[in-house]
Amino acid sequence: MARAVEEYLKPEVVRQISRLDLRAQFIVRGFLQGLHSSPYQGFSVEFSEHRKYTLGDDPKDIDWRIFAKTDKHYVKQFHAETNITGYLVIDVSGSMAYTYRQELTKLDYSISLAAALCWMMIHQQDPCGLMLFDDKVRHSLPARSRRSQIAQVLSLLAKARPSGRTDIASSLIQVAGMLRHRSLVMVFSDLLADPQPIRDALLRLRHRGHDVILFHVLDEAEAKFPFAGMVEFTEPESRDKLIIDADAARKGYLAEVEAFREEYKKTCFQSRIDYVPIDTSMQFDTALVSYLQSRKNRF
Amino acid sequence: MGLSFLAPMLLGGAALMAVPVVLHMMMRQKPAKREFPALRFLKARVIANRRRLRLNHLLLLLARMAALAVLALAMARPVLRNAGWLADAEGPVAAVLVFDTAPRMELREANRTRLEQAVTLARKLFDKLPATSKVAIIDTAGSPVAFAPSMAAAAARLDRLVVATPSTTLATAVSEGLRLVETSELARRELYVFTDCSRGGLASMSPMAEGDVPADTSILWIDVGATAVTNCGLEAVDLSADRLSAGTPLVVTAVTSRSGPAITRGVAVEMLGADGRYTRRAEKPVEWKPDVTGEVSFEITGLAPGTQQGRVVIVGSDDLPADDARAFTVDVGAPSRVLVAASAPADRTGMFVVQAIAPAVLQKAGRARFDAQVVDAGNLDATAWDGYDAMVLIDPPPLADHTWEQLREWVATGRGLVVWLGPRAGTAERFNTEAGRQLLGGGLVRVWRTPGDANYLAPTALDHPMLAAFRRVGDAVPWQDFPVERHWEFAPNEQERSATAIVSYRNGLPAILEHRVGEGTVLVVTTPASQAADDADAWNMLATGFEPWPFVILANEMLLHAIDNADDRNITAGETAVVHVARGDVNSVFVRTPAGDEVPVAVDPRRGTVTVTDTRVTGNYILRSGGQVGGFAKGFSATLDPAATDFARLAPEPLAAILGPGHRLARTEADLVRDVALGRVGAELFGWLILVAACAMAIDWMLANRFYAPLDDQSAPQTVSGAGGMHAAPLASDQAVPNEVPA
Repeated sequence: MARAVEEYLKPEVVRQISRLDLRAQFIVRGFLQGLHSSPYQGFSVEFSEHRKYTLGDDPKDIDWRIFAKTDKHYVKQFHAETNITGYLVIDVSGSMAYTYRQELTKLDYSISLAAALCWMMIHQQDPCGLMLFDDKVRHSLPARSRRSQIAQVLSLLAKARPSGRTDIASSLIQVAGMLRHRSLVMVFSDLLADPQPIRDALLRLRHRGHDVILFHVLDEAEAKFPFAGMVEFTEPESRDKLIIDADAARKGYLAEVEAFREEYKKTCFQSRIDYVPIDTSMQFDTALVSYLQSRKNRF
Repeated sequence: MGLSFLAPMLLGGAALMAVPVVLHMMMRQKPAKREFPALRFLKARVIANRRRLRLNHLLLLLARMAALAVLALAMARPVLRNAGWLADAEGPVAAVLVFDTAPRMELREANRTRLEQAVTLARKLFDKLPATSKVAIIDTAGSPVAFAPSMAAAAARLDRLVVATPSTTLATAVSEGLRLVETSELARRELYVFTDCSRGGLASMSPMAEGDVPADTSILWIDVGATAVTNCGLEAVDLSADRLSAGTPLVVTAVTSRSGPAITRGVAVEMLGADGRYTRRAEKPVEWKPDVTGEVSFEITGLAPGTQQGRVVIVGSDDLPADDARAFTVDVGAPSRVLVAASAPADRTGMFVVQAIAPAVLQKAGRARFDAQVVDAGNLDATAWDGYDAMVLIDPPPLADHTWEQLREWVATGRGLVVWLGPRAGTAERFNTEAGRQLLGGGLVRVWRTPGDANYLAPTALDHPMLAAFRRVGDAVPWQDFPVERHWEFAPNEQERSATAIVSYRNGLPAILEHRVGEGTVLVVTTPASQAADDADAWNMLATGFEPWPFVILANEMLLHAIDNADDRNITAGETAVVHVARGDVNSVFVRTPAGDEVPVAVDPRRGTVTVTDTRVTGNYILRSGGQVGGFAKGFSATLDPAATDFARLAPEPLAAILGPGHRLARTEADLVRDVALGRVGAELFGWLILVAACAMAIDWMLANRFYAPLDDQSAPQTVSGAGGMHAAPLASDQAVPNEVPA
């Protein structure tokens, strides 16, 4: 059974579900189902759930309103004590359209993950908004907690097409300017740009009181560099070219990527930003767990 | 210093140097094209290292090209000459050791013969030769010229070297040695010549020129000659005649020479008796003066008919025993009977020939070689010929056919005929009959006239046995002093058995011709020997010139050759001896050598001769068949060539001239060791180059491992691993060169 749950969270399985709403549900249900048997069960305090009363339960937890409606005893095990406004901020620049040998591009992966998170948030009565950017914010939906918001978010996500060059820093600054209230800002980007302005922009978000989860999404090839032999690499946004022996360059490349991630990780830790390095070969639960961890830390 | 290659074709392997370059060029042209957003991470690391990588890869490429080039060079097996310290003293050597083993090498100094000294030095040389060397021992005694199968065999051969009568000269042995050493495939070729630097060994040798010794062969002369010698020697022994009439005394003259202080020692003549022992017949004390050649003569009388053998000996002993005795053989018996048929007046026309072959003085003394009877050529048919061994026809007129035929039958039984043609022949048409042409082997054509002294006998070569007597004087014979103004042109028959010219005139026409008829020999001289000096029509001055000794010798030798019983009685050791048996009842004889061995030798039934080829032992050889009474007994003596015992050292200048420019001459063991060390001047560079190639490969291996160390990530392909780096790395490393990074 556990194996089946893990299957739900694999990107290649999710890819087979074309409808984004179904895909989001699929991811979240699989994730929740897995949580019952996972060491993360403690996080489920944030979820509202009823179950039949059994001997040994505290009688004060009995939900009498359900008893009134159904004449059965249900224990009101959890309560949502407050609501958090979440914004999904997704990089839709040209580099996000890349995959080497995975089913999902970085953007597809990010959209699936964002859709799942949106679905989870709406179902927890949390308002959820959406912003798409490349070199600036191109589309945005204000945060709403009603059910119809899911459809709007997913609709906009489904229409998202990667294009253009990226300017993450200015886009995040623009996002910071657009948010009026303290929010949970979940950024999905490959961060393939000059890191210092991006870090400054993230700090600006934090200084405005927003919580930030930075999903650093890399393609599996970008994370592991599986190439061999002589390869002429072309950067999709700038069209820069480089001919190189992949075998000889692998070690240096991986060290460079690791240093890059470490630098972000260090900066984010100092700024209390959740930094989640993921690649498109990883299961979605990594991202979801990161979200739940962040949400828990807020209360 | 020069560089040569044993396998120059393999130098083409250097073209393999292009392989890494070609691989590099080919592999760099086909990179896979990929889009990759994270290019910044590659740029950050690779661009920083691009120059260093280019340099590294260039070094790697150069190391590999160098390794291939050096390997190809090594395979071509270069050899460096005169390389000094580069020489590999332990590399195998093709060494040919030439020893002069002539009897003069028995000369003792410091109680050691020259050959023993040479062998001692050669053993020292053996110690210097690498174990895998190829060694040949060559001597002048005619041993096989070949490399010994092993060093041990060569050392054993060295131990067996003995002094022997030379069958070749030292110059010939050196030439054979050079040819042999050239056949070796070894790079280092050395020739060592052990010589006593004596006149007898080297004086007759042509000076060594630079081209005589191949460039890749070193030659070292080792002087084992003696410097302080006391010796008395017999250079030669001359006999008054080797065929004596009974009762004629034998005069034996010995030529003596002395090395060292003056001394008085006796010289004796000993005759060999029937019991095989020598009996001293005469002895004289001789004053030996230093470096002065003298003569001592003995007259031996009372020699019994038959073959008599003896020896001249120096009483006592000295440093060189080989020249202390010389053997001789003389035949004592009745002279050969010769019928001289001359035109009338026969006494006058035949006088010159008769006086030449049987001088009146000698005839009167009973010491003439021939018993000549003169008859008129016109009465030839009436004369009984059977008792004669030879006939001389002097200026014969045209003879009748039956006379020619009788002569032909008579000659065919083994007799000799000498015909001196002259004006009495008349015309060619009259003289030339079929019977005459068959006997003479040709016919007359015309008379040639050459006024003055422009024409004379001019032997071009003295290799005919009949001319052997002239060999000693060679070109010194004054033939031009005996001009021939007229002579017949003699045309040999056009059939297979015709006369052949032995001696020609200066105008190229034949002067003396030989024609074999049955067992006999016919000699035709195309000019007469019958005309007096005051004869205005004289055809020549052969017999009437001033001191006509060439004519005397020629007349005698022609007759001896025609009779064909000129036995070899006194020969030089090593030559072939031919002795006539002339008895039908003897099929084989026993030859008793001076060493005491008896060897049976068959008689040639056609020529009636015994041929003895192995005459290298000096002394008296006895040929016997049958018993003491009625049996056959002859003999001959073999004596050393004077050069074989001439140990007098050459002066430094002539010696240097003979050994050639740049020669190396060692005398002592220290000289030998030094010259051998200097002589090992050729070094095959194979080992060095393999070392360089190994270094290049090691550098390549280190560079490859340094530049392309295995990745920590196990999923990554290995670029270089262990010893396979040389093979696995080239493609990977060559591909790794970043070519360009567009802006």
